[in-house]
Amino acid sequence: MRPPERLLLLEDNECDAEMLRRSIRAEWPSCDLVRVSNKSGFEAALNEHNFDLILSDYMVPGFPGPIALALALERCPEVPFLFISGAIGDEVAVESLKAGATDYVLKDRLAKLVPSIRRGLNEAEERARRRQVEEELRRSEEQCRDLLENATDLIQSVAPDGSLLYVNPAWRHKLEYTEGEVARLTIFDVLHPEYHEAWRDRFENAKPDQACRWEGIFLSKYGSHLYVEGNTSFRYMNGNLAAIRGIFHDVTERKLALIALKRSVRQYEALVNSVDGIVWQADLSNLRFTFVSQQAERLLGYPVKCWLEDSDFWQKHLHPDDREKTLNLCRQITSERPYGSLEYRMLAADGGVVWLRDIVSLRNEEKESAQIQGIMINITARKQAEAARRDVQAKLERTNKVLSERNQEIQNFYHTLSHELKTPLTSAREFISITLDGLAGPINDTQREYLGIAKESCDQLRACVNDLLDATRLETNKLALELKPVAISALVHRVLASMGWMAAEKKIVLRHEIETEMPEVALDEHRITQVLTNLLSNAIKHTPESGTIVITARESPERSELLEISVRDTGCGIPKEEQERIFDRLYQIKAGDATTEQGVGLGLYLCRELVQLHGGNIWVESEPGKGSTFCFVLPKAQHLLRTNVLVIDDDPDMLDMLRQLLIAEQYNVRVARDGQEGMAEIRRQAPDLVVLDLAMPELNGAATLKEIRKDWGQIPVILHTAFADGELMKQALASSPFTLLAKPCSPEQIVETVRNVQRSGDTEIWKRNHHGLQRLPLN
Amino acid sequence: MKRILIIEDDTKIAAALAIRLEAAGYAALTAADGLAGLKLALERNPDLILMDIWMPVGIGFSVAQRLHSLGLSGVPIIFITASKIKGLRKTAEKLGAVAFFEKPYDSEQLLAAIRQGLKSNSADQKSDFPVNAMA
Repeated sequence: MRPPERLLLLEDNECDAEMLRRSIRAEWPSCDLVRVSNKSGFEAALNEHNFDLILSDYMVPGFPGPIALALALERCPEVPFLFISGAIGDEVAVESLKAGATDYVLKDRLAKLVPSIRRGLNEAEERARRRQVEEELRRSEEQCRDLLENATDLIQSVAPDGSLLYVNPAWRHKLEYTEGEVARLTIFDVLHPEYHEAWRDRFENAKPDQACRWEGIFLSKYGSHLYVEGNTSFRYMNGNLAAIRGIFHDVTERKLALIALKRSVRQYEALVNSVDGIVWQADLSNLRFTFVSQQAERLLGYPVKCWLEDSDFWQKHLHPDDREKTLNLCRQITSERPYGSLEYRMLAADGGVVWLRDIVSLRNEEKESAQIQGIMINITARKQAEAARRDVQAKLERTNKVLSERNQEIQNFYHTLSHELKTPLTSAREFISITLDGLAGPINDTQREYLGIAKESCDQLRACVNDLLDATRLETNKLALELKPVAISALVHRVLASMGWMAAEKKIVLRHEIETEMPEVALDEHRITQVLTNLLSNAIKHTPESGTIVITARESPERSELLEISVRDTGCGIPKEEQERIFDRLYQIKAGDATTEQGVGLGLYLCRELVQLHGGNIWVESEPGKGSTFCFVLPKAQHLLRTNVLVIDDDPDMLDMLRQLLIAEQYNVRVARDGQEGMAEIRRQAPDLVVLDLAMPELNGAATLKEIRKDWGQIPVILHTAFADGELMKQALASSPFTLLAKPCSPEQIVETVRNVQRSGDTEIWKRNHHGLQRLPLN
Repeated sequence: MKRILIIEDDTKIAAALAIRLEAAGYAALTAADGLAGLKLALERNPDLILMDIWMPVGIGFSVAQRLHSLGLSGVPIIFITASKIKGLRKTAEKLGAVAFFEKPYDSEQLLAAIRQGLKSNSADQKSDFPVNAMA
């Protein structure tokens, strides 16, 4: 006990006060004793509040002891309070102690004063100490509670039977239970069924000092999943398991994110593996593959791990012929040119060869970690088809070459044949003529008649030879028309004049109905004369004596742009089923009059071909027994004098646009959708001018131009292109000259360019030199 | 009497032509190939030459060219051919031929063309370019 430093004494009697002071000083000389003698002094002193102990007379007049005690207990309850009294009954004393006084000392027994004070001070000290301990305990408890109550983690204590001994508010909040509901729960109500067994096991096999980690799923009151992870530990009391403690952290968000991530990875993998091609990644520096999709195995037959484990796998399995080229192309992929597209072959596990198209791009531009990625697509089928097509094409070209050589041979043969036939024919006919003319002496009428028959036979033979030659030319596309304006009525009259005697011999009436107001049309006079002569001579042949033949020439009643010429006879007619075939080559009517048939049957075939060459058409209307009408139409010819333009373009819209545009400008337009078709068109009939698209699949513009130049010389060509400085253009330049028409351009520009090229005279020179057409203006 | 040189490798046709020409009052000379024809032309200085095109030695066109270079460019030439090869007629025209006939020819038309050719030669003027219509 520490010695008292300051005591308060309430005592109205001076003597008594002195006596008490002495007693106290004798024990604690430095103790300060403050004496007050009434209520107001006492109150003032209490306010000072720094006394170790209060001594109070029980009988201060006007301020009885119990009141002083009550006052002191109110103001400073922790300070010990001793009554000092002259006389105090036991009853009062007990009352006082009950009221809170520490002790009482009788004035006549002051020896007890010091021990009493000592005891009171001891008790006060003890009380203060206890208060302090209690205070500390309370504070610690508060902190503990604060931790539990405000923790965001889930904290629980579970009894071995599963009932919840304690859960913190975060636990309740996360699992959405109220305090009242928690009291009725067991841990198995909130644990996902998947974990029940593990927890039962945990209860049964609990061992002291065994903390373990747990992660799992709690179910909230409403069934939502709460992913948690944390620790559990066991609490033992008296050697028995009392509870399992648990503190868990809510990781639901993280778990869900992880699940989403896994799902997206799975999706990505499924996607990558379902792509019909090998998706891959590799280090740019050494071309080591860091990823290949499952398709790699399907496509080439090697397991994916071969690709990844063997750092040179890809390079090793490149086709030897493609390896160097492919690796070079890979090396060209840089940050400046981060894309590339390669085509190469790889050796498959089954020993086969697979063609791949590899679309490569640079993934990371940082040097050290630069990666390339791409997708390899199997193009074997395409490559095989291409090779097959090339083979077929080569075969076709060879066949074409052979055919065209054969064509030439046939032509040469017919020329020779014609020459060899005509030479003796000429001399035979000439000597007959000479004899007929009396140059070999006089002849009689019978001789004259016979020689006339022989001469006529010579003429028939000549006609046959000429027909044969014409047919050969038509078939080898070597027959060219010589067009010039012709008055059709004059032509018909000339034919009538030359054939009149034949009709007259058979007493056939030869009439003509010729419109007078017909324009001159551009045609090959010789060839149309040949057609009309042929039709007329057929009509005369097949019309019995005294029949009638009518020749008409008029504007076609159905189509005013056509002229129609017809030869109507009153002959035997032609059966319906024969009508379509009579224009076929080498067709002979099986009319039983083969004996009178003349010629080799090429006549109508030649007529049809010649009329069609003029852009016209020929047909027959006939009724057996009544007669036939052979009719042919010719275009009024302007279009034959127009410039023929061939447009070659793979874009159907562009093709159509150019066609419409040029037709509107009075050009004859033909179109072709690619170079091949264009070349075929040119071979069919050489145009005066070609408008050629440069960028086309297959045979492109440059290649087409080269072909044109090779086979057709200087046909004027307008090259229509959007890539006036590209690689194709360079190739095209090798086949110059041509005129460039840059895309995009207005319709006016197109028309003007075509006109300029036409006016420059190129087309006229070309036509004169190569076309065989004599083009005279129509007035 | 006008002299007409016939250069023709087919002797039968050459004979027929000679008979025709003599009957029409001309003197006919014949040569069986281009070189012989050329020689005869230089020796006899004909008034007109009637010439085949395809012959074994010296084709008609080259004979015509050499006649030009030998100073006989004033002699009218008429070509007669059994060939139908395209362009022959044009070439003949370019070489200054006065007429072009395909075999078999019509003798009257031929005689008319000869008359015309001789006339143009004497009058020293070019006329139309007659061709036979029988081809």
